[in-house]
Amino acid sequence: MSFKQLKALWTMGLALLRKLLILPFVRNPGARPWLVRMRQERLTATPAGAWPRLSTAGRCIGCGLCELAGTPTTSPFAVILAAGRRPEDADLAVAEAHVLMRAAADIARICPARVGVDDIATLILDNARALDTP
Amino acid sequence: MFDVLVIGGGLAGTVAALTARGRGVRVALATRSWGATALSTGALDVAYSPALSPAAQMPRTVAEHVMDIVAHRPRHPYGVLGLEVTLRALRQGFAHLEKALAAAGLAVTPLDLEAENRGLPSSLGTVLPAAACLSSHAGLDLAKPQPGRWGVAQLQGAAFFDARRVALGLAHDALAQSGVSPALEPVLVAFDGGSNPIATARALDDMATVERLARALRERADGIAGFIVPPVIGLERHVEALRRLREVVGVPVVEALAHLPSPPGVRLQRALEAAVKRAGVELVGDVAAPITEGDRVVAVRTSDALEIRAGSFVLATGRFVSGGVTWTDRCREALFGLPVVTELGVMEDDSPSTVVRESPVESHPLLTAGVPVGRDLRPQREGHLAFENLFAAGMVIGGFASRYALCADGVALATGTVAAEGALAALDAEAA
Repeated sequence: MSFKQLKALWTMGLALLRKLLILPFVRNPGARPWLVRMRQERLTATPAGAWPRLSTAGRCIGCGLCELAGTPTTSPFAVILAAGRRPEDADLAVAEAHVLMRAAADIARICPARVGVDDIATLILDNARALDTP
Repeated sequence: MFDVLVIGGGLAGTVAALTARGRGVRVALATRSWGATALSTGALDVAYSPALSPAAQMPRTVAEHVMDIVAHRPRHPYGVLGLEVTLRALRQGFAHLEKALAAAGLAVTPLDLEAENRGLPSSLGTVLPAAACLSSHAGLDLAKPQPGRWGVAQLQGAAFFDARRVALGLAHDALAQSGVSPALEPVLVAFDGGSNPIATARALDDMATVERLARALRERADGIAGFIVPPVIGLERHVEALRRLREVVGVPVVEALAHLPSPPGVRLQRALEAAVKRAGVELVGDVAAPITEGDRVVAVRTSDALEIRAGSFVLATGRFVSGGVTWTDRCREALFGLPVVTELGVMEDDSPSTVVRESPVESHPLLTAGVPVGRDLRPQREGHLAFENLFAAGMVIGGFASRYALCADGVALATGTVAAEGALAALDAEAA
């Protein structure tokens, strides 16, 4: 065993010992801090009922053809992108979810990846409702 | 009751439908949504195979690239069909495409298999080899030395097209391909058409907007041999818009090949849809399930619960993205449950070792998953014909990666033609 490996074992052993020693005095915070952080980012835990929707919503390949179902003032692709992840875009996605609902039938006719944009809109709105529920 | 039912409305399915219809039989085309054609760059990739060739024997002409694929890739559709059949089918398929596009007003450059690939400028600043292209992309071949100074038009607000990067990238690629660095410079054009390609292309369906762009380009045309512009010159009225633009500007105006979203792809898709309707091919809805009897397919059931019977069937449903191939519990062709083959061979089981390589820089075999076919493009199951009257066309055929030989359009043209011929021959055989 090399000196480097010995040093690594020593460091890990110390860390484990420290953890065991302080364990009886510290309360396990559980998932609460994590959920609070998600809420701050305008995200909720994925509810069980969302999984079937995710299988069609998650097919998007980002080709942008859904823009054809938009109008000069609405951009379905921008809403889909906004719904993707970035917390600062979440409010835009909620405000514009109706754009996806309205364009869903047109997008279904052209989308090469058969993305369920009405499923995306439902996920956005369900997420927003869950955040508004204390 | 139809004579031939084609399942899948991409380029391969469309060519198959038009080929069969051209022989006077009753043809139906089942489509669910748009295929990869709508994502087209505007170029027609037939073959470019340097990755397959020893450096000393670098192919030059498109036919030599095809020959190279035939020689080195036995599972590739060109390899399956053989050189002679491939070249003939490419020419026939292209003739159908040319005619279909012409009827919609779209022109395509000739397909000369004995010529070298053109070097076309892309919106990402790369020089892409292509055997042919929509005429709006023609006029500047960067695979050859180009005289004069070309302007790369930066439209205001067009964040999707960075003229400076495009000019730099093209100069770099062109130097590598032709040995001469072309004079390319970004030119700021006082025209604000929109922030995404589809919105800009729509705006340029309005002829007053085209006039504004034309005047703005003309103001910057001093000393310029021609302009490379983003591929946004109209959707519905593209032909008219481009003609007017070229008239007013007074120097060649060439659309760069598109990335996504692609207005040229949308034009191509719409032109093909119109051609199919004009030819008298009946459009039916999405196919939900096939109905088979023994070794024959007799009908399909649509998602509207209609039963559509036909004598022969062409399967042109693509791979994973379009839903032609799926992997739920097993990797299978989605409609008939046919087994799949990758470029590594038949997937005997679904263990990960059959679909991955040790080297991360090589192609991903899973992306080559599709049905194995015989020389007449009939899908096979365990070395035997799956069905007597079922033929495959396009990317649903497995065992090859189009991105390593730039051949997706050529495969669609060749296999669409041969599959339709097979379907017609099966009809004749059944009648006899």
